[in-house]
Amino acid sequence: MRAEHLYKRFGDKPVLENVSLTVPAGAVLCLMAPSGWGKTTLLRCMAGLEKPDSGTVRDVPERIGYVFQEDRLCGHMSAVENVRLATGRRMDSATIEAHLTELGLGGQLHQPVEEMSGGQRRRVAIARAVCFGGGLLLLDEPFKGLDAETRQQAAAYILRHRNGAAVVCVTHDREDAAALGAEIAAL
Amino acid sequence: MKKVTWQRIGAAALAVLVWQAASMAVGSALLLPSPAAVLVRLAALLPDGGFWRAVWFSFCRIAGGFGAALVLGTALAFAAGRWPVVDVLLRPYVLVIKSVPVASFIILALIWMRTSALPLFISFLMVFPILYTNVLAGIRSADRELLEMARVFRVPWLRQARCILLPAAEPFLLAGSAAALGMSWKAGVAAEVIGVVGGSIGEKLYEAKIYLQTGDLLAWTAVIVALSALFERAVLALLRRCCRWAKGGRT
Repeated sequence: MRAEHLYKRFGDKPVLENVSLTVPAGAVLCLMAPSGWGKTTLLRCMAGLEKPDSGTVRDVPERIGYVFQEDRLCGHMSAVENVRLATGRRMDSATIEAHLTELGLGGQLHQPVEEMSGGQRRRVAIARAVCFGGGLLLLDEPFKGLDAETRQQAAAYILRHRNGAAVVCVTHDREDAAALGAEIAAL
Repeated sequence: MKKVTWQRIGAAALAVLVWQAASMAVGSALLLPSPAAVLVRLAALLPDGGFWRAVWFSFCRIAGGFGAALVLGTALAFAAGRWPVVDVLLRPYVLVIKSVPVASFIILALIWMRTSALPLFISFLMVFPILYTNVLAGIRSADRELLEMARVFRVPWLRQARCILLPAAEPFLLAGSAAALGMSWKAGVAAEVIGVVGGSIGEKLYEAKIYLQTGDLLAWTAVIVALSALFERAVLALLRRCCRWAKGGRT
């Protein structure tokens, strides 16, 4: 996946200015920069959710797993149902349950996510992106709200199940990058 | 019993007392019969087979009109949420139906169709725009972030409708239905009265007016109020159950 010379403004405020990024197939990359430097906007451009004012995004895989900055879960649905919403019939319930259990959610499989803690919801969002699969996994502060041990567990889970997909992770924390064994790209 | 229930019973009893006082002040059963006189008239009507036939006749048509408007209004609102052109095409009709007086539609419908279909048509016409605009507003209030998530994960539209749009539309659907249910009875019975629809509650009201039977008029009015209230409770409970089932089903 290649992003070349991206420019993006929101009103008068420039968010991306001549940003280029190449993500080789299977690479694990962490984007680090202070707040407001357009990391999320860059991920959104890569996912096709934002159209850059100029520049191009090329060779984007057909399917992209995305952990958004917000959890973006359906509150009335359970963890399993939220993951199944993304996977459809491509993954059976038992496999989804195994994924969630691996993330320490074995006791909350059928609990509505609106009744879960922030950390539990974050892990459901991670499982959803990983189970959806695809050639690229975009993670926007994926370990927000997770303690050190759970962060390690979640990072190991992502690496174990990414099936060769490239990973681009946005974070402020070097420990996140270390947990993912990622190469760091500073914006 | 709960305190609120007692308060409601007290408020109803007070209303009956006010009615009684007004009736005594007027002093004419022709102008305003007492609550007891209306109750006696109602008790006399109840064993009559014609009473139940009239109730059934009006109920079927008004409930049928409401049901048709509920199904079509909700379906078209979801279609308009999916394809904005549907709303563009429907908007003129909705605006016209909302602003034209119900009496105009009743008279037009009297020319177009047989009178027995009148309450069904008018009930449908009064309910449809309320439900369509309410449900569409609910769909448009759906969480943009969830819809964007659904786009990224390529969630089919029907699944989006069930898991994201329906939960957003549900409070609007219930509020719209609560408002439209009373409207369907008012407009439906008005159509029966104007059209003098044979065998309907409206015809009984019309006859009560012609023969100056104020007691009958109020007894039938009480029946309409009771039917409307019962229908509203039943429909709202059913809608809540349907929404819960639809949202809770397998994705």
